[in-house]
Amino acid sequence: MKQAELIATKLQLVDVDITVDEVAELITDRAEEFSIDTEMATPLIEKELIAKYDLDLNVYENTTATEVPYAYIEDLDSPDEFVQVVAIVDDLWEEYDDRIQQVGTLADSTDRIKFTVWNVADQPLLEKGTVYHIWNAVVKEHNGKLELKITAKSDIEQLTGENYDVSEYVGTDHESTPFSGVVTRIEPGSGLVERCSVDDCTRVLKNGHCSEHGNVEGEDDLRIKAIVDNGSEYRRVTMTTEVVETLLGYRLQDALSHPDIDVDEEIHQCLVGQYADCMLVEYEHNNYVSSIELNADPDGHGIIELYDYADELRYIL
Amino acid sequence: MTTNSSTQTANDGGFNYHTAIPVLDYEINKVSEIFKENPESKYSPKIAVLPTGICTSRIHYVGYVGQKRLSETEDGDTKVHIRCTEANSTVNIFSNSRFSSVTERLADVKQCSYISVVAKLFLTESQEGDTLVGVTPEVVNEVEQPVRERFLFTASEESLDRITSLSEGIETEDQKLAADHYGTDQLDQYANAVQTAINAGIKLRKRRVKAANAE
Ligand SMILES: [Zn+2]
Repeated sequence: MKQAELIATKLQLVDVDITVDEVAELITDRAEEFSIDTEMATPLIEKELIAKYDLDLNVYENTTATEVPYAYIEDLDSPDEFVQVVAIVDDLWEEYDDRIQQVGTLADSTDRIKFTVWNVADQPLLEKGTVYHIWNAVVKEHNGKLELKITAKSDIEQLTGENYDVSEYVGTDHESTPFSGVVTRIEPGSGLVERCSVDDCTRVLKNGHCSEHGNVEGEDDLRIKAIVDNGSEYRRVTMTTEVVETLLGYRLQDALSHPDIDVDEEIHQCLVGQYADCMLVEYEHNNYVSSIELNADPDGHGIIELYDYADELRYIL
Repeated sequence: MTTNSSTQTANDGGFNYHTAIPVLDYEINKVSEIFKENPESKYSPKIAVLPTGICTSRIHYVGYVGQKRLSETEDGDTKVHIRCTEANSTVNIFSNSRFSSVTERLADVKQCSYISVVAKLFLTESQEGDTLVGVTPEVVNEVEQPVRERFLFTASEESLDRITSLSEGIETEDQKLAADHYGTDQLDQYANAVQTAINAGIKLRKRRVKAANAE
């Protein structure tokens, strides 16, 4: 019963401990009692419940809001406020309350927050390490701490690796690991690219064509895909806007407003054949560069030992 | 037969990449065995057997542009020959008409600069009729001197690892090929070449640091 679900969710949002089944039972009982449709019984039960739990009607009705502000986790401060966030599932905890589907932490670039998904919300399972755009999550205060409740009214969309730089998410399990080598190749799709402008797609367009949405408006971006090779191993790495801007020494907007800048050539000169000391964040089989240093001065550290070792070797051989 | 047994190769989604082995000037010029991975296939990569016991289709090299010569092929294409020189060694770098953008870059390279190349090795003949090892870049870029220094140190370290491993016994298919073709009785020469390279690197670095301090 859709109506029962909706009411139960709204009640849960204002901390009423009630299940969909309980609401549904109330509705059917009342419908039988008065020999009316469940449809007619529904608003009656809703009114009764609001009265029974002494709810602030304003707060209760607000739970039906659809346009909610986008928020950074660090800025969340008003309990009962509906928000949308883009965040990574930082951690999932074991949950012993069987009314709760999932509990854990969400993180964005500013902070992290506990979240719960109630069974009644009927949402798909969230995966650890995946980034989601969540609409209509509600901020709740519990034991003096804020948390996010994901309800039946929440809309959840999983984002793909193309959409963001995972290194921007704080406190995630995606630890960066160092990797050093020579940049042996710049791969196609590097430089100034156009991304799909449909919703949060952001796939890189090929000749104005998105593999998902067909011919669409493009949004400009800068990125580099390259191979870093140390002679025994290599990594295919992706550098997102900010890393590329730092490397090139100018912003995307500057590149766009100066058509005489040959971005591809500058990327080549900057990277090809150079030694790169990178910090990499592995995510969805992609290695994102979170920081990069080019041609760090060889400090000669260990070189004398190397020389002595060669000397030894020469006499043994 | 397996090659590149000690290096990473991968085929992810039709993507096949062999790592580029850093090889010092001395060892490059000692290469005399290059074979096709698959003799039946026209496009099969050519594998160079390095005397220190590894087989590779791709090397990394950084050198000093001592001499650059441009000429024209019968088809009117530009041909570039760069001699990377240092002390008494020379590495010969040749353009390949198949990579026209690389040829352009090689033609633009400034004399007395450093270049970093990821390249294939091939065998050719010198004007005197001697066998000559040619280096054909897939990519090339002009770089600063510290890149050559780091190359000398990195390639030295890698070379020493290979020499040590080969001197301890033949374990891989690559080492067997190298030992069969070059023998293992001259490994001391390669250790010697490593010392020369380390010395060259230290000298370059000293000179650079001194110049920077003088400013
Ligand atoms: Zn799209």
